Amino acid sequence: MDNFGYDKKRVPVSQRHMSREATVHSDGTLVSVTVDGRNVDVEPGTTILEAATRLGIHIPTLCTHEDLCVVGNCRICVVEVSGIDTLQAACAWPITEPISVHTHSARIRRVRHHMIQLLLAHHPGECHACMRNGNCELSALAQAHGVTDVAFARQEETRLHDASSLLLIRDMKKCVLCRRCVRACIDMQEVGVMEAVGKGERIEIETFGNKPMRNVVCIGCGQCISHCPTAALVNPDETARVWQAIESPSKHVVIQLSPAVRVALTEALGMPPGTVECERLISMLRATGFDAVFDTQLAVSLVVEAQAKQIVQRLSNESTDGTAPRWPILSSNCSGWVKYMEYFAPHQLKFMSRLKSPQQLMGTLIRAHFAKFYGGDPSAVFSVSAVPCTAHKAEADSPLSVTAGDKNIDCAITTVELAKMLKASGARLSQAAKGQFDNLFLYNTPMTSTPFNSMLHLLCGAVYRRVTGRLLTRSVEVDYRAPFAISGAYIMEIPTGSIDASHDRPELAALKGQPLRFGKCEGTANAKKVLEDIRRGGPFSKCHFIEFLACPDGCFGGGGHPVPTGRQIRQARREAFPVNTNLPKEELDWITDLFNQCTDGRLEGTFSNDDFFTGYMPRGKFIK
Amino acid sequence: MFFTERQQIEQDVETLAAIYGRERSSMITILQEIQRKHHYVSEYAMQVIAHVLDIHPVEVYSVVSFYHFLSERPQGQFVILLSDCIAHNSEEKAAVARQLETELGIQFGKTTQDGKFTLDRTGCIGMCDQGPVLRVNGRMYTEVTADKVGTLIADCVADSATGVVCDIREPSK
Amino acid sequence: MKSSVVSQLTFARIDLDAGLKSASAMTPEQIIDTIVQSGLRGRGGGAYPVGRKWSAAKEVHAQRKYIICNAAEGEPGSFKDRAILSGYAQLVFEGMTIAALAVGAERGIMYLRAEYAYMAGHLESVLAARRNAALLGKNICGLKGVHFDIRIQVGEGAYVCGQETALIEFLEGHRGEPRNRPPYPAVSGYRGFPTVVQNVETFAWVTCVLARGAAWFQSLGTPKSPGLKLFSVSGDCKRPGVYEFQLGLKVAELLRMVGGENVKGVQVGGASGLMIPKSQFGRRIAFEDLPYGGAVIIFGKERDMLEVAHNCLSFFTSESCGQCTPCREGTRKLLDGVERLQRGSCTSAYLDTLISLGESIRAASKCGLGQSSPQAFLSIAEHYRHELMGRRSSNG
Repeated sequence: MDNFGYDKKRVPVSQRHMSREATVHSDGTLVSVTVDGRNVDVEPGTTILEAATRLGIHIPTLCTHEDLCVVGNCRICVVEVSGIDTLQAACAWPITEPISVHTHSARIRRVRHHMIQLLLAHHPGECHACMRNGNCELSALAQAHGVTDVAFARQEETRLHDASSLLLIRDMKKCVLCRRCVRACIDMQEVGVMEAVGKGERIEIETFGNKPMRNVVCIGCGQCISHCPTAALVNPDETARVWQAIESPSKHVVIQLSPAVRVALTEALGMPPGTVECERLISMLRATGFDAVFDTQLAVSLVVEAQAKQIVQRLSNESTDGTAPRWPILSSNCSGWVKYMEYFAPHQLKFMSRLKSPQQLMGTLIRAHFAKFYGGDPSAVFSVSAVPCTAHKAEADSPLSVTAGDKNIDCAITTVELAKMLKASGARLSQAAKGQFDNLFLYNTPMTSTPFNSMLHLLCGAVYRRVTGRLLTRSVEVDYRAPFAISGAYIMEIPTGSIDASHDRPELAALKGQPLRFGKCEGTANAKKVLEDIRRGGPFSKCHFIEFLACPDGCFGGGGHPVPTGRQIRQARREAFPVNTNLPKEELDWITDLFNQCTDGRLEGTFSNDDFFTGYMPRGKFIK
Repeated sequence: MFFTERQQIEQDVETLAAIYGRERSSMITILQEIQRKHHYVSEYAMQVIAHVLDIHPVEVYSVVSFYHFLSERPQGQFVILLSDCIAHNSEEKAAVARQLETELGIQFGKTTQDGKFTLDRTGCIGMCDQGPVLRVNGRMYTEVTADKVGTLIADCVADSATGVVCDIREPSK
Repeated sequence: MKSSVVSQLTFARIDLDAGLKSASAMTPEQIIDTIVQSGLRGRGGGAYPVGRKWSAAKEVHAQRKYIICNAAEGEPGSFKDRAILSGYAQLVFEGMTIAALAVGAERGIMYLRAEYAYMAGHLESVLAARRNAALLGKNICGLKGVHFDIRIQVGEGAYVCGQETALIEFLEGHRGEPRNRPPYPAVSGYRGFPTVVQNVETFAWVTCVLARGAAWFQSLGTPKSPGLKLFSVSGDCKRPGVYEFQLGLKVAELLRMVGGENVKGVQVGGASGLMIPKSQFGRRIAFEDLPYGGAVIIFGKERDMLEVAHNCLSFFTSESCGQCTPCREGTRKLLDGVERLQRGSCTSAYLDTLISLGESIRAASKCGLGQSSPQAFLSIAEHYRHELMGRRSSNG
């Protein structure tokens, strides 16, 4: 049998992207379509839903999501298409010839009403006690369509509730079988935790063998959570542990806040996506009971320095003929990505950088250094980290995330959990005073580092600086290459330019005039392609370093952030911070100084160079 | 050479993939062969198939769960299915059903302790004009009455003694 | 097991390979034109004009194309395809080959439902004989460079795989869940290639049309439903079995032929069809009126219509693929409603609610299964309402 590449698509055709090529035999002329009496010309292959949106006509949807391929199974968006007796899903109908569409006839309204009632009949009625109360798509649909009663008797049955894992809580009685989680996990992320199992009325979304979450392969990216329309899939809630520590007089509770979390947190507090109110959030956190608030960006900058040092060291050690096949250094700061490697490519773990994630590094610094600073017992510090996803929860809980018997981070809580705590604290964002981060270090240094939206760009600058002795400014022409022509996986080629003859740098010799190559990859389905590309000796294999982030748009798309998610929302979060390749001069100086202290063992406390590094567990994907 | 069950499955899947291709469209043939040979598709088999076809085990599990004649739990040597076609006389059908449960000592949906028989219902199997109908491992028995059930089961037992367990052939009539 | 055939079938009197011989001397356009002229519509229940489907597939430029024979025959009450495959498989394979010539396909697949796997050996030997006679394989019918071969794929038990896109999904190794349409299989089907899917009986009639001419076929039946059709008749009648009739036949005429007396209702179209009461036995089975997938189940006066509705709805609740809301959730609500009626605890108002829901399920479902699953219940509720209400529960 031939392999035409068609077989390699993950998702069943019923749930694939519209194959517009198949329906379109045109020279590009536009097609005229009439929706509710109003006309618009569209490219062939445009769906009715897209055409209606252009006309400003709203068609309600449920299973559709802009990040995911089309399914057309909820039947909420059904419309009347001229000449066809049955109703058609607007999201799934590609326009190839002129048609006339009606979106709100009496028949359609009655049908939509029935569809919503059917979904409600399969759904528990405890909205007041639900995590998505006020933010639930099913409830919003019911409200928008005036569904205030369910004509059909509710089914009484017990469905699975799985709280066995810190990565994900599954409450299947709230599932509406939209299959967004299936599409997110299989198609978008290529991890494959869940699929529809059984058929007919006995269909359920299940894990492999219907095993509990703690026994299946899951990387904790949380994309299923951020795409789920109801509370069927949610982040576990560990806030009780944090409250307990706060209420305990003997505990000194500290929290670290990363840039991605601090921008997404404001969404949960009612602000538009991309709102940064860091200073007010800091004082709200203090009001909630945290004794100190630290900036994870500090650790990001240190990790960047450590990573740059590692890359440059490897350049120096490279054989001068440059022909030996090599793997790029693979990043290690995304714990979802680390888990992906541990499960799916355990034999390539040896190519990972072994550097800790910034959260873990910060946690180690806090445990090793901070306690000495405030003069207390290190184990009296309850160290909390606000994280973008549940993969970090698992990381915090791992036996590898321990320094001298103490966990680096006692509790990692997601953005939504932290928002819950803030809301319960009585503080209000608009009225909060402006606060500053706490000083982690004894001597008089700035307490924070400027947040940037791309760690990779900072890293490029750090490596360039070490290799050429110059700063990477906009005058250097960086070449972007996208071998797969998809956003989220690209290579940056940075020419090193002419070298001052008085600088005898072995790193440059190894480069032999070749540019520095840094790869970036967001999303684990892309990561799979990149790994295959490396194995085949493709463009990514020529990179010196590749940053992998498990989620679309990196940490800005983490599964622990407020729902809903979408391209515009993630972009707004990302653009709240600048992208730059260099820290401001003053910051760069003291970060470099701090980094040297850390690596030389000169930092007060028990911190040493080894503390920059972590280990991995080659798990493999087979479940025994 | 002695193979463990797992090694046997690995070898079976590899052989099948070599013949039919390492693609998703080979899955159904591979599943059919594994089901036929091992009487079910075990979780380990699903993982091996997923690995060889470069898909996820949960996708194989999902497909197996969809089709009536693929099972993730071991089936009996003989799978006896009673057709539930509306065209058939419901009292005759019910009598056959009761007799089957009596003879085998199990309820519909279960497998006998010795692993010889699985008893289940099925929908219409295209024998609407000659019911009640039983399908046993591919063989059709038409116009079955309650008194013929015992002989039918005895025939199966006799067949298994001669090694004929799962044959797709013309019914002898 | 009996052969089930009662009528004298046209299939028994057609010269084997006469149709293929005719077609091999025509251009693809001429073959399609012949089919269009004959007015042949699909014989599986969909009733889509065959010539139009082939034309669409022919127009697409693709590296390869497929001809698929749908031998799923899952419709309760249908067994005509079993009879055709047992006795006239050559005609079916011949029809597939004719389609391949018309459309430009080199690969054919027969999807054989799992329950008919006992026939696979017989079908394989028919295929082998055709290969030996150079009617299948390379350079068929003496046409150099024209290749076509057929493989048999046995199913694994799913009624929904009778739906052409669900069938294709099964072949591709997926759950048998129907696809969004458009694009239709003729344009983008198996593995993305143009795929012509037709019922077993359709291919057999294709062969007859090419053998005897379009005019012959057109002269039979009705203007909108030309030609002949096989019917599977079962239930409470003297002579159940497979019959051949001209389309346009009245229900009353059919009953006379099969010995149906004291008939309470006739389910035309199998479990997904309509229940026709005595008052409507004058209606015709043709595209213009009653659906003609060919399954006819006869219910005598002792039969309980609610039990029939229950049986049909139970079938659909378990056979539904479960993808879309109306079919997955709605059919169960209808079944629950029937059980309420059986217990005598269903109000008139709730019955009307269920009927309205049934209409919504028909309108909104993603595929033909959901679109037709409420029909039996709706027609029973319409014509037998008097016996639905006020029942005593069987538990006393």
